[in-house]
Amino acid sequence: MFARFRRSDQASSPSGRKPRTASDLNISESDEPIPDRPESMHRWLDTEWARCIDFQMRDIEVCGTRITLFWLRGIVDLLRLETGIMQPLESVSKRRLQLRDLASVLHTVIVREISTLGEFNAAVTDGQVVLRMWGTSHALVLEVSDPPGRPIDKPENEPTLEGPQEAFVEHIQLNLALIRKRIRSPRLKVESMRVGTYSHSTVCVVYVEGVAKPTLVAEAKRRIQKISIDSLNDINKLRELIGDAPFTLFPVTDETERPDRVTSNLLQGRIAIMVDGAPNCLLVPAQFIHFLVAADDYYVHYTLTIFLRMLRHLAYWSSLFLPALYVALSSYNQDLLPTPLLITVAAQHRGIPFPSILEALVMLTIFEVLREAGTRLPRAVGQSVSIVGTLVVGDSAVRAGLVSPGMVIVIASTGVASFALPAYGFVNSSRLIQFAFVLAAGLGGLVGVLLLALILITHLVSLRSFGVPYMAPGAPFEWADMKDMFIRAPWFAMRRRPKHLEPIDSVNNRTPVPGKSKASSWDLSES
Amino acid sequence: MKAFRIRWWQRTRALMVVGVGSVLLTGCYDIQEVDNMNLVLAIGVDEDRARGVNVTAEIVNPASVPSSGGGESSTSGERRATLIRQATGVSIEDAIGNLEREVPHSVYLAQNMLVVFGQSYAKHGVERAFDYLERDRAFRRNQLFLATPERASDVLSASAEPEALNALGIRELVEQTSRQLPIVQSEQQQVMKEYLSPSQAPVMASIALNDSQHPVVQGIAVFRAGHLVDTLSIREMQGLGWMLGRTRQVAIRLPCRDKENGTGTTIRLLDSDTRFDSEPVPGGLRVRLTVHARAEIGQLCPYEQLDEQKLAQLNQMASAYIGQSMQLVLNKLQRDDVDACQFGRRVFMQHPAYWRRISASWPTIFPKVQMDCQVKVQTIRTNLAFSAPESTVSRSSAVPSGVGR
Repeated sequence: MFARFRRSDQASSPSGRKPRTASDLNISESDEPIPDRPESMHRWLDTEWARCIDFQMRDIEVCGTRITLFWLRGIVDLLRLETGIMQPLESVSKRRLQLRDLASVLHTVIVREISTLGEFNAAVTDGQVVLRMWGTSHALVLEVSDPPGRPIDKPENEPTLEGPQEAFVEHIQLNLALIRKRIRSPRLKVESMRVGTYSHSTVCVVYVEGVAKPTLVAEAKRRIQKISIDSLNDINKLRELIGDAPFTLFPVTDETERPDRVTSNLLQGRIAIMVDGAPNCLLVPAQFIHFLVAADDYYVHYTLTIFLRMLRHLAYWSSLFLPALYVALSSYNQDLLPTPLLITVAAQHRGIPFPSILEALVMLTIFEVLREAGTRLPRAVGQSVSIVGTLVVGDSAVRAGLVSPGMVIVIASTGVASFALPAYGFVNSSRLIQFAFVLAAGLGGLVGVLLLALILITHLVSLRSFGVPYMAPGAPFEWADMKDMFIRAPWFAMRRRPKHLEPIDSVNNRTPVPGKSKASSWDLSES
Repeated sequence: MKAFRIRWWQRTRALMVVGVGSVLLTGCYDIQEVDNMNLVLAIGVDEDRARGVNVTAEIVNPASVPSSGGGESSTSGERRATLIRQATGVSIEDAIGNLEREVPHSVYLAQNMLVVFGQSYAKHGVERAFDYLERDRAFRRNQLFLATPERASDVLSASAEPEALNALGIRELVEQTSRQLPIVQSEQQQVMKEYLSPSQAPVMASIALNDSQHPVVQGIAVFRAGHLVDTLSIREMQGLGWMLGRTRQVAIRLPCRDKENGTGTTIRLLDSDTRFDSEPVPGGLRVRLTVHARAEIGQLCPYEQLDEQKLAQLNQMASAYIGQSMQLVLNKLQRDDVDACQFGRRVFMQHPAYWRRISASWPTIFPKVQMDCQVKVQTIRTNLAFSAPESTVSRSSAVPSGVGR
């Protein structure tokens, strides 16, 4: 079950003893059976769970039978331990107890049997109580875990004005429940795996059977099974470990903290990968166009969505090209500017000691520093820093004649445009790429920008996400999938799942077009 | 691992090629910041007796352009938004080269929008400038070629208020007129097209200075093979416009029948279209111009009542006016021996074989060309009023009929 260690454990022992390496720990023992004698068990525990002050063990005697309970403090619901385990055990009066008798007595908790040390460790670290009745070769695992966590809250990174206001938390069971709440069907499959030599994190592959392509599910599981790492508690680590193109700046997996978004993606034929401890989940395959789609798009009228999506596309390409175009047009290709605009630009740039490219790079860097400062600081202070930084620094720089007002407008517009994008991971890529474009513009003007744009497009069309072309359905072109790309067609017009995902069942909507019914109001009233 | 290394090397090599290539392609050599250039908006070309050509450049003074630089520039008229700099040389190119040596910052010609030819230079032939203006990649082909009866430097030095930039003001003036008569829009590509056409008679808008020294569109300068021959007045310009093709919103003033009273009737031609036909006749060529125009009434003579008869009369008068104007222009052009009405080009397009036979003798044929004009003006609306307000006044009691009953 557990992966083998590949590197030695670097953690030093506080007691000054020689640190134990992974091979010293001999994890392969985990498949060994649980010792049936208390002495052997204690010896093993002294080795395995030494210096774990949160490890708890209590011996009790039930009708002459010695029973020991093991758990970890802090992740077990002590109330349930008392009322669901201790009190029922005290009420047992039967002599010569068997393990199955205990299972029937403890009917208020979920009970399962284990037989190996590895299962023992996994159960204890999961926050469950292990009940060991001496004299038998098995132990009982009692599900009373209550790991610390926060309640379900509003989505902070993907807020919407309309629609559901629930977001994932760091508890995978709760997260799965949020999806189950929306897809009440046994077709929703959840396959679980343990990843991380030390963290033993639960990773779940969630999909809708009969919709998601089986090879896609198999591929996802295969990639997860290949992971061999100390700990995995974060989606980003998983994204880098299973992504198709590890060196690209563009995210090839989508992530979300909204269960409603996961639900709609699952029903389109994608799969979700969830990690215990991560307040968001991965959606694969992910296409370029998905990063310009916001959850809000599906909660407002489709006519408004068309406008918003166009605006978002404009914002994205502006955030990439605007500073570069400004540099190219003011340094090389002034003939392409209308005369009045060029005169204004020239007037603004008069007396600025730096060339446009340096001006742009400095301003972009300052903007990024401000953005980073605003992110790291507490919210109230962060906003103040952003405002002070933007207004005071920008205004002062213009007044001091270090930066032209036009450049401030361009950089500010670029920043605002990038804020209009719904996917934060996607914005990060454009933050870096815009620097490359500015450099290209400074070196080669519009020729440089076009050259880099061609390289970028070539790169984009060469990317794949779990085997699906990244630029689909644009390239390769799929007319049927255009209904939810640059625009969102009305729901009654979207009858099929995206073709590029190759779903098993392609039809997802059989609702007749509203208003086309031949029944008159008279017929309805009579009926 | 080996395969990965090979791929990595291939990628690195590709990136190096792209990087080095992008540096070498244009690589900073062409970089020119906006504040290191003199934006030339207009060029004036005058004859210089001593050295050949005198070039006047209207250069933007960005610090003094109103509403630029954060609104802190001077708008009080202390400093002009443009600077006038002059240089002489044996040719325009030479003079502009000399200008580079006399003015700090490089001369940037890509935004040039006017080339004004002074009268004396134009009379000696503007074709001397054509090769340079066509060959140099800096110039836009939509720059306006203008002629002036004065010195070009005077026109560029004049004020075109309220437009702060003189060149922009003159261009706007020409474009305003060209909305009525497209022939006034003498852009470089259009002038070159006319220059190279069988008629070889380009026309350019003529800009002069009025009494208050402001530039105005004076008419049209007509050229024979690049040499200024004559200038057409506004009415003649209208006539040429009707001969050449479509016009829009041209106003015709017709005199009142009994008394002038300082007003007259105005018919505004909403649009007009001209059809050209030609047929050879013994010893020459007969052309037929059929003009169809739709019109509205701009103003009626005082006390004039509009009825069907009056409307027909107005249509007839307008038609006659157009016909007379066209004939007037043709007579003038025939006297000047310049085919600015593009008869040669149009004959060539209609009858290429015939044109090949007569092209050599076209200079002798054109002055004898007979023109038939068929003009049909149709007044389609009377504007917001039907008759003149005075027409409702009773002559005997001076009380409008229908009032106070």
